[in-house]
Amino acid sequence: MSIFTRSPEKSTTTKKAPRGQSFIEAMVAITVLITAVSSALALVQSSITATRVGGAQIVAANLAREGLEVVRSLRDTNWLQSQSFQVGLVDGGGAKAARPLLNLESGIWSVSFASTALTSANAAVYLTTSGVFAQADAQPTGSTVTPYNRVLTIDHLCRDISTGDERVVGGAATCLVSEQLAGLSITSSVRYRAIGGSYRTLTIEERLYDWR
Amino acid sequence: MIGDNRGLTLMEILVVMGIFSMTVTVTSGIFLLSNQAQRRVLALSTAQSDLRFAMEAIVREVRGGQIDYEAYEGSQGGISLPTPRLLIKSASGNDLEFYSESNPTVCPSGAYRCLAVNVNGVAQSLTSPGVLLEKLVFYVSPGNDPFTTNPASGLYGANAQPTVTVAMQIRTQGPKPQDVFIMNAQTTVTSRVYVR
Repeated sequence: MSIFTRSPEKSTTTKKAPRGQSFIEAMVAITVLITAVSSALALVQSSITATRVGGAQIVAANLAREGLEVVRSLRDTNWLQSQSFQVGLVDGGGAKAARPLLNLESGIWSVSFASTALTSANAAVYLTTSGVFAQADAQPTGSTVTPYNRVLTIDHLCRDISTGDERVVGGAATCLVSEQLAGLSITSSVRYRAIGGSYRTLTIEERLYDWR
Repeated sequence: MIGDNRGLTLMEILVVMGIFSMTVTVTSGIFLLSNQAQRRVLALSTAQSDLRFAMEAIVREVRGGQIDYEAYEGSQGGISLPTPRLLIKSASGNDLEFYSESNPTVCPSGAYRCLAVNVNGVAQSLTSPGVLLEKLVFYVSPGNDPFTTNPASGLYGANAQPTVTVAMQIRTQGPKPQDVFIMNAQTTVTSRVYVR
């Protein structure tokens, strides 16, 4: 006995018997319903994810700006100390990748040229118990690991002494004998882990010269 | 009369009611879920916009203004770090203080803490209702004014460009634990004022 179809003997008086829904029709109806429901749920989920990614982007942008500002602060401090603008910003060994480090006692920033890359463990940004984001060679006690990694790339801006042409010198290279170091091209990159485990990178760049 | 007027069988009624109640349950579930999600998105985006606004307000003042070393207590021995308040002499000559306020007449969230700015003695909140300030610290460097000289020694207080690192943690307020979000943010800014 079927639920959806009427027995023929009940509707002998009508010319055409109402046959109810077929299996195909029911399947189509269910598919439409499931599609509507799942798309509504997906929309809700994606709006939460997008907002969270937006939050991570704000934090990453602030951390990236911090990297540029630290280099600017060190350059300006070099002027006040009556020394060459690049002291502490150009590595003797030719390294260009660096990490900005904050001394949590003195509040003084420095730049470390110890070998690093955006994917390295030592590029990790930690969150201390007082709410300060800090990079360090070893994880500060009591701090937590954040989804952020940060690396600065401090390339040299070389100006040809005779022609005045300027170029960015990346990699391990330095200025030629016919050139002078006119400034620094700083790239601050922050990599963060988005929801779902994928990585995103935010990069900002600034050029700082030996003049105000 | 045309057609079948024999009404519905009990089986048909049961099936219809079953399908109907299932549909209603699923629909109301989705409605509640999206309602809750909407509330969470609202809380998150309020927190984010507050964070960004407060951060940019502080950054702008530090960039264009100068650290008010005289106003810091015991500035002779330098500013003890980290400091809970930031004192700025703004570019337009106003005395600004950024700090964590708990006074309910200033904070829109009533009994909870907010990030406030005191402009020439008048305090106002930088965060909206429903956003709580959990932590706020500043690292001000150098500890002494690099642009004024010590009358005794004739030397400048420090030889470093004023730089401020601001770190804060905010929390959203929600009726349910899953509506509560904690956000940490930090940035550093260097003064663009070159006195010497």
